[in-house]
Amino acid sequence: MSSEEGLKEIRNRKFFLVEGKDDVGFFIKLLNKIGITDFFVWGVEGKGNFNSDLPVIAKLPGFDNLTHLCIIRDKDNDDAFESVVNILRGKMRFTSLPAKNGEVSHGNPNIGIFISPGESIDGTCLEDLCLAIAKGHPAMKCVSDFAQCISRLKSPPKNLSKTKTLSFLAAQPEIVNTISLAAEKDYWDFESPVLDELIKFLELFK
Amino acid sequence: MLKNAKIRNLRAIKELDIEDFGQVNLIVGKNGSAKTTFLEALLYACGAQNPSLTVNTNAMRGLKYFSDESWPTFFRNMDFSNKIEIKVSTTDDVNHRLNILPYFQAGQSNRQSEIDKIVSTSGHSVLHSSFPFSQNVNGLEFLYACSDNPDALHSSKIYREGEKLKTPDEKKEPVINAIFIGSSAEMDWKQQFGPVQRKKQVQEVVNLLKEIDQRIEDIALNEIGLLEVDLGLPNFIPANLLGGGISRFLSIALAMLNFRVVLIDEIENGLHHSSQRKIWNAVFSWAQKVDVQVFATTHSWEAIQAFHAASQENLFTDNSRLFRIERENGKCKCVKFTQQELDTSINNKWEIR
Repeated sequence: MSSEEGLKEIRNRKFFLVEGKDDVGFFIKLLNKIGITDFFVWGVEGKGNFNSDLPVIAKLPGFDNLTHLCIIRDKDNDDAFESVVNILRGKMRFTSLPAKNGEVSHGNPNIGIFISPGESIDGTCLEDLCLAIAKGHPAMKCVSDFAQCISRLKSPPKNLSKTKTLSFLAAQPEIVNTISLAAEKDYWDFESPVLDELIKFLELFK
Repeated sequence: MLKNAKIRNLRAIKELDIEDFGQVNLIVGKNGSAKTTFLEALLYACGAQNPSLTVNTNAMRGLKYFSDESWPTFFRNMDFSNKIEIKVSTTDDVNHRLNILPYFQAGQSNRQSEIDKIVSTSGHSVLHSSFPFSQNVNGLEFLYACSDNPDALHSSKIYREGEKLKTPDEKKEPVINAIFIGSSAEMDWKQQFGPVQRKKQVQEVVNLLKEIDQRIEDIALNEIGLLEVDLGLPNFIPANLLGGGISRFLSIALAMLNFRVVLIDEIENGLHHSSQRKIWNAVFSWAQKVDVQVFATTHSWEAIQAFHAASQENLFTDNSRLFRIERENGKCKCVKFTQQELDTSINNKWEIR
């Protein structure tokens, strides 16, 4: 369902392209939980690589056999959805594309785009979604206090959401340092209603 | 230069369209994806009035003995009703069309015997017998047309007559002067060396060979037509004795200096991985210098890396292409990689082949 090695050949019918290597395990766990089968998840190591990697992925042996292609990237502060659409339309010549974030087009393959953390969650990245899941956790009070403290530093962290997420993970009985490893340890409650929007989108890949 | 090709019903290829050739082209694909057949198709199209090429390419594939049962091997599913058509267009916007048809020369004996006899003819060995599917076919016909003169249809045949292969039609110049270098077959160095000598390009060949063996100082034909190399020893020694790498370099060098289109099957054969960059550097350098177009196939990751690195080093990225041929369920497809895509694939070690 995912690979630590370089991409060789696409053998599954559904391909999920996510923004970071560290996100892969999170999505594998979630996809398995909601009953999606025959899928592969690959992380592109940063949003800047969608532009170079997507067209090459489309040339891997087996790409033509895909029924579904899903791209999940962070909102950040730019036009994330339009950016992905431009790559798919301009470089890859796909014509059947989703009209908006969270939709799946009907084509060959069916293409879906999800911009994290989703429309219903405040924030700009997957970490914001994770923090929303963890909102009621007792450790989050400590995390908030810590975040408030370091925000007063002369050179505070550039991405406070990532800082808070790592702080939260550092507050767990067994410390892990990525969203994926946290998913493996069940530190994210996948029953949380916070995930409804993402799950509703992913269920379109059944 | 060749620009595009459309191939129908040749050997394993049902349909294959490839567009936008570069001056130097690397073809990759799995075993059985029809890479060699693609090179053969280009060779036939370039020599569209020379049906002997079919026999030559079969010989390079190891079918040294020719019989009537060889004729169907060119047709998809060994079925003569699958009409072979090869269309190529060139950068000067001329379209060439070659149809290859089964041929029967009437009046020839058509013995229904088992394989019973092997005889050597001029350049080819003929082994004649017949299989049920061969029926009466004892040859092939090349039908060639060109957009420059669309009303003229040129027919040229090859057929078995008794124990010999006959090519009765007037010999004509090739459409484009092309050569096929097989993965293991030896080239006729003697024939190719003369023109290189006359054009005073021997030193260029020597320089290339030096990349492999610094001792090489000169190269020459001896009195019996054997190509020999000066290693600084008291006597010249036959080039064949210097190993597979030198043979490969020599064949490619002579081909590039003598032909307009060079087709190289499994270019990595006989070459150590460290030599592959050298051969590609030479290919790119000569491609520019003598205006030759190259099509090479490979299975080798090192060959792909060397091709890409050499194209960048020689500032040849705009004129080099990598194509992968895929064949699945009888259908062929061609995937073209841009330089940026090749860059991404190689840097990430993603599969290209």
